[in-house]
Formats: sequence, C-alpha cells, structure tokens
Amino acid sequence: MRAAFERHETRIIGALGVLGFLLLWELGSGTPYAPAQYVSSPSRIASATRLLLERGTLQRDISTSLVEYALGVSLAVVAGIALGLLLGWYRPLDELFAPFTAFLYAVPKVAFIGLIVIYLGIGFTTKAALVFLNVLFPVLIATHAGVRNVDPTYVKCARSFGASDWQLFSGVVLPSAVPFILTGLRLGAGYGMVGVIVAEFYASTAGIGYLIKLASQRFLMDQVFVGVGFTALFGFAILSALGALERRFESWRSS
Amino acid sequence: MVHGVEQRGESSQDELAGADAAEPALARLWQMRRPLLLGTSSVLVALGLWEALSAAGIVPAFYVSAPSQILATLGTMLLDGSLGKHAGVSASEFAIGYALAVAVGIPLGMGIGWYRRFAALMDPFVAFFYVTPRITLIGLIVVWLGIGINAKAALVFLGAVFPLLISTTSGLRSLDPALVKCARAFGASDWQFFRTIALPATVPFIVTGLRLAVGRGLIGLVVGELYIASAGIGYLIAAGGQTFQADLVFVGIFIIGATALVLMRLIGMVEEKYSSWRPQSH
Repeated sequence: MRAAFERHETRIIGALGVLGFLLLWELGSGTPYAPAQYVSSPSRIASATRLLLERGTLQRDISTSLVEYALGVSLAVVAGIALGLLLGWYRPLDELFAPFTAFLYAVPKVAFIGLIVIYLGIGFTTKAALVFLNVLFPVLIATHAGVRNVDPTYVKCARSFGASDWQLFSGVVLPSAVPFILTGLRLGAGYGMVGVIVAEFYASTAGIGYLIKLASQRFLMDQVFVGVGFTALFGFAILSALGALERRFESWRSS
Repeated sequence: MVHGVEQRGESSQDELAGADAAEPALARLWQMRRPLLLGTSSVLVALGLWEALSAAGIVPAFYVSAPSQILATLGTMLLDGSLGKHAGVSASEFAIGYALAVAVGIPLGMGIGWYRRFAALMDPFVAFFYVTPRITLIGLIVVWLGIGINAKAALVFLGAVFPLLISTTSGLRSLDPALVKCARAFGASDWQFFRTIALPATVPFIVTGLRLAVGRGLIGLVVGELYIASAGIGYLIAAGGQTFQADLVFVGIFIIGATALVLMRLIGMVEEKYSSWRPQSH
C-alpha cells in the first residue's frame, strides 16, 4: 500500500489537488463571497455545455475554429519550412532578409489584425491569415536554426565522399533539421491558437473566440468557461501529440 | 553556395586575402561587413519600392500607406502629444503586469522546482495554463476586473508569468548532479546549498524566462488593448483598422515591434553575459 503510494505519489497528489479545487469551486460558488454569476461552477459549466450542444452552436463554433486553424497552420508549415530551408542554406539571402525576419519574429503578430482587416475584410480568410502569420515565424526560425546546426563533421564527411549539393541537402541537412522543425511546429501550434482566438474576438460571427466574446459581453460566465475549457482540451490534445512526435524524432538531432 | 562549405573555407580564404595585398580595400570591406551592408540595402530598397509603388498608384495608398505618410502621421502624433499619451498608457499597463509576473513567477517557479510534492500539486494547473492561450481568459477578466488598466495589466501578467515560472523551475531541476553531491557530502545546509549552488545555476534560466516573458506579455497587452481600451498602442491599431487608416496601424505596429526588439535584445545581452553560469550537462 505504502509502496504503491510512493510509486504514484506525483499523480495522486496532482489528482487530489485538481479534485479539491473543483470541489471548492462547486461548493464555494453561490456563497456571498463568490456569486455564481461571477465565478460559475463545474456543474453550471456542464449544463451550459449541454445547452450549447443541444442548440448546435457549440458544434458550429468548434468546426469553424478548427477549419480556420487547420488551414492557417498547414499553409504556414509549408511556407515556414520552405523559407527556413532557403534562408538557412543560402547565407547571402539570409543576410538580405535578416532585418525583416528579425522584426517580424519579434513583433506580436496579433498587431497585424488591424492591417489584415483592411485587406481581407472580416471573414474566414482574415482568421486563417492571422493564424498563418502566428505560425509562420516560429516554424521558419526553427527550420533555419536546424539547417545551421548541422554537425560540420557530417558535412565534411559527405563532401569528401563526393556528395552532390542535393545529396548533402536531402541526406544530411534535412534529416538533422527535422527535430528543430518539430520544435518550431509545437511552438507555432500554440501561437496559432492565439491567432485564431484573437481574430475571432475582433472580426467574426462564429468560432470559439466569438463564443467567449459574446458570452462575456452578455455576462454569461458559464458559457465563457465552456469556451475556455474547449480551448484547453484542444490545446492539450495538439501539444501532447506534437510533443510525442518531437520526442520520437529527437535522436535525429545531429549535434 | 552552401554555408557549411563556406564556413570551413573561411580561414583559408582569410589567409589568402591577407597574402594578396593587391586585393582592393572595397572588396575586403564587403567581405567583413557583408551582413550589415546586405541588410541595410535591402531595407532601403524595400522602403523605396514601397514609397514608389504607393506614389505611382500601382498599389492603392489607401491600403498600403507609404513610408513618408507613416512618418508624417508619426510626426503629427508626436507633436500633438497623442502618441505620448497612448505609449504612456501601454507602458504603464505593461510595466505593472510584467513586474507582477516577475514577483510571482520566479518565487513560484523556485517553489515548484525545489519541493517535489508542491510540484506534484501544482503541475496540473500549470499544464492547464500552458496549453491554453491565456488570452481566452480575457472573457473572464473583463467581467472580474472591468475594462480599465487592471484588466490589461492582468493580461500582461498572465502572458508573462508562465515562461518565467517554467524557466525558473527547469533551472532548479537541471542542477549539476556532481555539485549537488559534493555540497551534500561536505554537509551544506539547505540554505547554503540554495544560495551558493541552486540560485546561481538558475540565473541564466531566469534571464531566458525574462526574455520570453517580454514577447508573451506584449501579446497580452496588444490583445487587451484591441479588445477593451480607449487608449494605448493596441487601441491605435484597432481604431486604425476599423477606420481604414493604414498609416495609423503601421505606426502602432512599428512601435510595438521596435519595443519588442529593443527589450529582447537588451535582455539577450544580459543572457549572454550569464550564459557561462549555466550548469554543464553531463
């Protein structure tokens, strides 16, 4: 018994902590110190979820956000890897674009929503575009770093055995950049979620961000928590999946 | 040209350059300062192209504005004091949120890194915030804190606190085991151990956390001001976007971007200075 507790101590303490928190929340909600309309409660959130599901709006919001996210992320991954490989491989090209990538990497991409709205109006493309911008730079910078961090011994070895540029690229540089790209992808996935939520706050009529904004303006805290909860679930799913992928390819790191 | 090859060739190229006194000084300058020269010229070309295309009407100035127009707007706003007001509002919101994040994130991160059971208790909550974009909490913050400076400082805080906390924790967890063993063998007390081994080894991690926290905090600031504000740089961007004043939006973006770049570079310099304090991994 004691040995079993010690083996799983971390998990037991964590689970008890979460249970205790939920219990406190449920029981404390509705007392004069914590009015239920301010703090909501787990049971109220559950029934709000049921309500939104019955109305069908939650399904619509989730699918809207997912499609925007998926489109923005896929475009950004393709463009980010391609640009990262180019800038990592051709040094003069990198030096030419360095001021732009440095600025765009540092500036919070959500600031571009003002411009995107002017260019693309308020709709599906605006939201996908903000996701794209958010995901592009982490992927680009990571890919770039991956190309630059190739173990020089491998390059030397491949060259002395007469590898062509293409062989060097596809056989040595690309595989050892993979772990970096995956790290960039995990970071980008998180920033992409920021992009989709912010774009939906600002310019949208559907999506999880819209749900949160609308519910907050109507003072419906239960529904705000539903939106936050689904974002957390989605974030947990995608970040764990990408984290697992990253560990799987960790051994490809060359240096 | 492939960089790896180029890099390896560099030393012999330098020797050749030194030997060959006939090589023009201009070419040598180009070799030495190429990144700076290429970078500067590309920025100048881009600005010139932007100005020309906009002036010629090839791309509508209404959409893309123009460098001269953005500068003019910047000048006007500087003179009439409106830019100072917006920047001041944003700066104070950011400063409050960031300072709170430092005051909470570092001690909490140390607690989590130091006490195994406390870490077990906190881990699910930290993980929740780690996977959820903190800006979703704006829906709650507005109801709890209203739409004033507190709400935006809270968003900056939420953005900045987790990178700090997580970096501090991982610093304490990656102490050099040889040093730990050695200190224990010589009977160091907990406090001695913390002060002379754990704390110094954690400093580089904390500085990294400080740098990451700037980026995350600025996202919180901009989103907060886009969503709920009547002043601030984020508000400038939102208002510019809604009223189709591209020059105003650009002014906002450049100010935020420049702030981010400068703050991160400054902390990056501190980071380099302390990087030798990082424990060597075995």
